[in-house]
Amino acid sequence: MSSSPSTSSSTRVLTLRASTGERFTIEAAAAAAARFSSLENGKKHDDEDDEEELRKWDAGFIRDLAPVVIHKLITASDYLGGRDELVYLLAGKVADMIKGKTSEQIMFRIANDFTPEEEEIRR
Amino acid sequence: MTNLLPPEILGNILCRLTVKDLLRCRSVSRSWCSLVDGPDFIKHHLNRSISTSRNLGLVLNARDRDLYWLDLDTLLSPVRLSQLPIVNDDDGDGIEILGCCNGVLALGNSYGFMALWNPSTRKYRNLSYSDVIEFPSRGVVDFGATGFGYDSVNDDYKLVRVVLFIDMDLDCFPTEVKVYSVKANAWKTVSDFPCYYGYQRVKGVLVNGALHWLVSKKPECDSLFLIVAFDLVNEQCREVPVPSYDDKYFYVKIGELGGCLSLVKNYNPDNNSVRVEIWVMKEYGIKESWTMLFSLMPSHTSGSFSYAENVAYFESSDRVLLDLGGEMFVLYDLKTKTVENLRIFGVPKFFEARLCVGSLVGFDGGDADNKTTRKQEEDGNNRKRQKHQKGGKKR
Repeated sequence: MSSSPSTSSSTRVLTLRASTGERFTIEAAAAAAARFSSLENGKKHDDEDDEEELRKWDAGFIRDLAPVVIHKLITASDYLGGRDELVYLLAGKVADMIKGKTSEQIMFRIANDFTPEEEEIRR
Repeated sequence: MTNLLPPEILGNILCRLTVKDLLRCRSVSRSWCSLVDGPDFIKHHLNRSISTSRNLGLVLNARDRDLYWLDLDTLLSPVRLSQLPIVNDDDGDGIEILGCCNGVLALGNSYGFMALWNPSTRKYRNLSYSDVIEFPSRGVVDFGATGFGYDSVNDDYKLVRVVLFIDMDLDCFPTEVKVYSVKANAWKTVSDFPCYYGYQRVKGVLVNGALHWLVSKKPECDSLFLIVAFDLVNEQCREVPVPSYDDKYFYVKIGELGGCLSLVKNYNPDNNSVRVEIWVMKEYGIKESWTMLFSLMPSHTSGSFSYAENVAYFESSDRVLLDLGGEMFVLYDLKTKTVENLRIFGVPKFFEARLCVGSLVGFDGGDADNKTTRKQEEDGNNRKRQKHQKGGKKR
């Protein structure tokens, strides 16, 4: 999986290409592209002090992502070599989406995006 | 066609949820259901809750004879726990919490019925009634001690019951110790249990895979106490030393704090000057490692109280949750050495507060319903009548 940040007028667009050749893009704020490409290159966090900043920023970035994109990122993370921070953030986001919902709501919003099993409805 | 979300990742997501949410997730799809029901996920969720101090609650054994759940995540008013698997007898001692481990409560009543119950999932298992093996010709039967805990080696939950045959003419009483194993769903007798006195009406404290009780080696002895530990794995007893002390006038109770044995000394000599000391045994088994963590006196913040007990320790914030006099809770910050009042509305007066994690841990059984408890009441009344006729006294 490779990534190549490219700029557009107001936001940067991060392009991810899976080893299968599938491509998808994620719009991200300017810092995002740099952040994930540094992850991609396996660089550690530069600054321990910025750790908290980065965490806050990550949460904001994740918050606005659509479920489909989250799904792609999660499955893509395998290709990225298991980026724990990314999976961690995304898992937290999906968990938040599930909290307090009824099974029907979960089925509709989450399971449909993530699993193709509409037939197995357990009472 | 969207790809299936890998189970490890789905597990990673779902293990962050409360039991309430997870029970709803079971209805989403068959694969979600089998994931949530799987023993690996249940352990993963349990361990994560414990290590992040989430999904925690307090079970209050209230003076109105009901059990309540106080959610430590939300700190909303405690909720009465209804439909318990064993009947709450109004003229007896009510429901006793024999132990609490990994989200499972061991409950007992004065009829002798015992059950294991997960208040988050409502699943329960009634324990087969285990009669005392031999009623002695004289003497009084006293349930000296009980405890409930987890044997990590055999992945088994065990309930321990110690019965003392008290006869004041003898130097040493015989004891009967039985252990109930959830895996085997059976009781078995443990032999060679040493003779101790004065088991307090406190249930076994689970630390390091062993149940602990505060006892004394001589009868009617307030001093010279020690701690006896019953190892849940090898089912053997050992002694654990208590800290040395010069003074006498305190009431002592053991507990658990951050994985260590704790000891609370409540000083209340003339009902005027209450002082509480919280000690922990930092290195298990080493007498010299007993350290006084802090002491507390009634203050403007805490208000007055007659006694205190440590209920929980939150490692992330380095704070100890204390039960003050069975009426309110405070948080003691070990770093700043300050006390914060935990303002919770509608806390009933209670005898004890037990820390309980919300978990999916369960066993075969069913969901509690009123039919079960009504039959228990009938059986219990019959049993009570029989016991009176036999001449033994059961408490």
